[in-house]
Amino acid sequence: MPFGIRLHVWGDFALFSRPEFKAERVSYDVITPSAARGVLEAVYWKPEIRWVIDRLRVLRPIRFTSQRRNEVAVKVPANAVGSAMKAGQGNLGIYVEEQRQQRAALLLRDVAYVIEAHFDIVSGEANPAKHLDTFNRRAKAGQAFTRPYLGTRENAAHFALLDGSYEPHDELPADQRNKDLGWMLHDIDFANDRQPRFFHAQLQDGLITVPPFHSEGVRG
Amino acid sequence: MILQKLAAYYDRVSADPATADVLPKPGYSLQQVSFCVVLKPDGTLQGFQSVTDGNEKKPRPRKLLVPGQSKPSGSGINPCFLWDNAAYLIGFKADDPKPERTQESFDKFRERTLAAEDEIRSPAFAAVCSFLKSWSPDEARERAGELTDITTNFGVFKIAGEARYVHDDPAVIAWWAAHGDAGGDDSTEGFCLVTGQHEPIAKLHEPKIKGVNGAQSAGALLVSFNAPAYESLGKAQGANAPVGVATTFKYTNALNYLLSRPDRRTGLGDATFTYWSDQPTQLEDFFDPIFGDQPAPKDDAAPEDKQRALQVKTFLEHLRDGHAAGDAFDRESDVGFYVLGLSPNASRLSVRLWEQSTVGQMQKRLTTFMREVEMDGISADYPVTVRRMVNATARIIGDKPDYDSISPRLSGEVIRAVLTGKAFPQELLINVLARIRADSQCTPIRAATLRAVLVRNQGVLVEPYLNKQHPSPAYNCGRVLAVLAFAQEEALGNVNAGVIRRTLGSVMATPGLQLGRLQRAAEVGHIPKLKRSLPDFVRDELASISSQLKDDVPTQLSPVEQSVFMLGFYQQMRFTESIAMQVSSGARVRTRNGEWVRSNGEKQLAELLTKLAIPYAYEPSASLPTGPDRWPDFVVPATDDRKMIFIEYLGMDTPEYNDRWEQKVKAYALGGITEDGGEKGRLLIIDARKGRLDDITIMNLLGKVIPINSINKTEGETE
Repeated sequence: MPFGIRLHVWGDFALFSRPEFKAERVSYDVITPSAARGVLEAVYWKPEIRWVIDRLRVLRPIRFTSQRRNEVAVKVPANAVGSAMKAGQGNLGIYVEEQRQQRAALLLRDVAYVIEAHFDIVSGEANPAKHLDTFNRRAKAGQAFTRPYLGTRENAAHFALLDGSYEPHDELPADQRNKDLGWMLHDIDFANDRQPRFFHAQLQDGLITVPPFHSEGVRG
Repeated sequence: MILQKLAAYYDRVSADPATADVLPKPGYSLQQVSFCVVLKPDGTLQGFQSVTDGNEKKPRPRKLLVPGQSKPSGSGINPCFLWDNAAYLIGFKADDPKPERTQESFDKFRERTLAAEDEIRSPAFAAVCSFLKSWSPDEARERAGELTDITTNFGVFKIAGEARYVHDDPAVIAWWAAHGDAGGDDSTEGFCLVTGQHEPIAKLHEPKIKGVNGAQSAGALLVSFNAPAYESLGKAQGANAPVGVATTFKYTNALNYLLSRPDRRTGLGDATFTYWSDQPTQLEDFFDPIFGDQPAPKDDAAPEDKQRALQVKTFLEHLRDGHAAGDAFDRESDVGFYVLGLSPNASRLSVRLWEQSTVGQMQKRLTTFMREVEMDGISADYPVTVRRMVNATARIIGDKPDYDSISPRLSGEVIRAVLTGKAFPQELLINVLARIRADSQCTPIRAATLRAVLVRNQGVLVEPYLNKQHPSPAYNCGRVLAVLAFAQEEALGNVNAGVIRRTLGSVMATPGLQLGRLQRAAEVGHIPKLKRSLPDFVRDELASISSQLKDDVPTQLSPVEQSVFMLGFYQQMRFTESIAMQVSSGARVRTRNGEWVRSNGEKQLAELLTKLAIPYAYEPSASLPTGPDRWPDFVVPATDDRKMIFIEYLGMDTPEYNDRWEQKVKAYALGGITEDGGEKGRLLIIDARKGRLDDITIMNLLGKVIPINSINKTEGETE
């Protein structure tokens, strides 16, 4: 891929929530393309480009740990916000004591991935080199709009651009290198009523090849 | 993967002819039925009968497969088809506060049944219809006496003279399969994220999961979005995670089935664990004992229980020894094996643990675990299980453990460590040490737990039995303390947890500051008071430990070192107590080197080895893999040109001695030690069973394995 990038991403914890275990969270075994896109977009994104994930490489053993956290049961409703904006005032607070919910999570411990991706120009001038250059510069400098995260915001991610100066160690043990991961969330189709799209993820020698979003392998 | 594997389990159980009827078929559910309405073939009432599960001592309602799902909660009128509670079925409710409502329920039920009257061609069903047409709730009220007792749960219909219930009638089954549950089929089509197919998507994932400790009794849901914060992207309920109706039915029923079987589930800490494999396997059947503590069956237990206990014991022994039960294990080793741990959270269930592996991998991890928890004092009848390990961290009040003092999270983490083969939670070590310090007791289970954590987490090697040649100073300090404690107890009796036991905590933490003082106190106050040959024995022990310590008593010990100290203390204590009895009764003989050997013959051999300047250790540690007699008699360390030599002295000629000897030879062979020189060492047998051998003969035997020119003769020694 002439304008592809490779980003080494790692962190202490990661939580790529499965859709079916969303209330009491259980993580997928590996990073989802959607979460990988999130990391890249945190580093550099403009409405003119769209990131497309090509491959994901798993570098560390897949280990789980569990934790419980106190959260709240409600969200601030969007229409309430809308009407408050129109009216100029409104009560949008959540009284946390009344809405406490303890939620458990089964998350990943000590993860490291290599994200291989490229971007498509969606609008604006067709100058991919400019965007690529900006991304490379930002990734090298460690710049990001918001701190990239692994699945959920509290699992901060470290990142480093792989431009050939070093290769991260592959520490995935032999018995975890080949696995059928079942149907995994690819991404959300925001153009079509926010439908989730899934693809059949296979870990082959530590590598997951991600089919393009609009290909046959991605169903929803 | 969890839902996918559970659905696959459902398929496996349904496909197996032996268990095909255990799980509900789609469109059916298991309900507790306590009574049935018996009708005559013409539709008039014959009577009411209670339905129990056949257990005469404690009759309970029977679980029957009935058409339709569970009754939803709420205040609406929801009649079921051919089964329901007494209010709907016959219009009876004990102490009825609202008779009109009961009447309404009955009417609706009748309506639903009669709606199918023309479509079901069956005399049984026709009888039910005509009964319902002519029945009125007042008649039920007249029979309140007999009805009140049996109408605790649901009821069904039966025709007098027929064995089966009306809802099991083939015509009814066929009609139900075709028309099904007309009540709730408003599901839309979508993509099922488990199967990858386009299917009707379930809105609610029913039936609820029952059998998780601590969850609400009506059942909890594994997949639910019951608050706005859990919904995303504007989706509601089941649309947040599209799972097909068929798959939902499969996984919920499979999980309920697993949780209903006591041999497929265990509660541990704050979670309930269940496990299964892709095909029927041995491991599935014998996995339970690893977790829990099955008490040994009492003498009056049923023969099946005793047999099962024996099977379990055999299985665990095979597992520990690594050569698991023959071919069956090899055949099964690639079969997928899954463990699911669920924790309750009011009406939801959270996944505490999900381990997906194969039978072979799981077996390896269990073998590792069982080997790590081996300890002197743990018998095969009361092995170390995860539950017992965690209970070792409980406070002991009086004589009983206080289970409330155990951290519930700890159990989950310990189980995760055992099942995944990863490190134990370090807090297990700290907790057990704290308990030992507080109670001044090291029970066998606590010692086993410490050893397991040390071996797995720290890589510190401690054997299950006393190792007289252990290099660690902390270990040897513990040994010293044990001998001193023993001396005090023997000399003064049980002085209300004597000085030494009371100072266990501080000696454990700072041995350098305490041991010298304690040794002097023992020398002055305790050892002289010992009887018979015990003073010599105690002094010999202390001398041999000191030669290991070499005055290198550490000032301070870290928690890991303190655990090693503790193990030294515990193992030496057990060793000393068992040998001391023999010393007191004169069954042991002292050699010139200060070892207390078992017979004069062994003494002769020991002194010969010394004369020939062959370094040796007497019963250094229990190094033989199995068998009742794990201690080799004499061990000569390896040199550059030869391996370790194990010298066995045979002194008696009785059948039981010879039996034990046979087993010991086998154990040696298993350990790689044979007379011709196995991989671990060479076995030299000095056979004096027919009579004492003289020095020359023994020296010749020794000369065969230890090269003559390496035997240094002391001055003035003739051959």
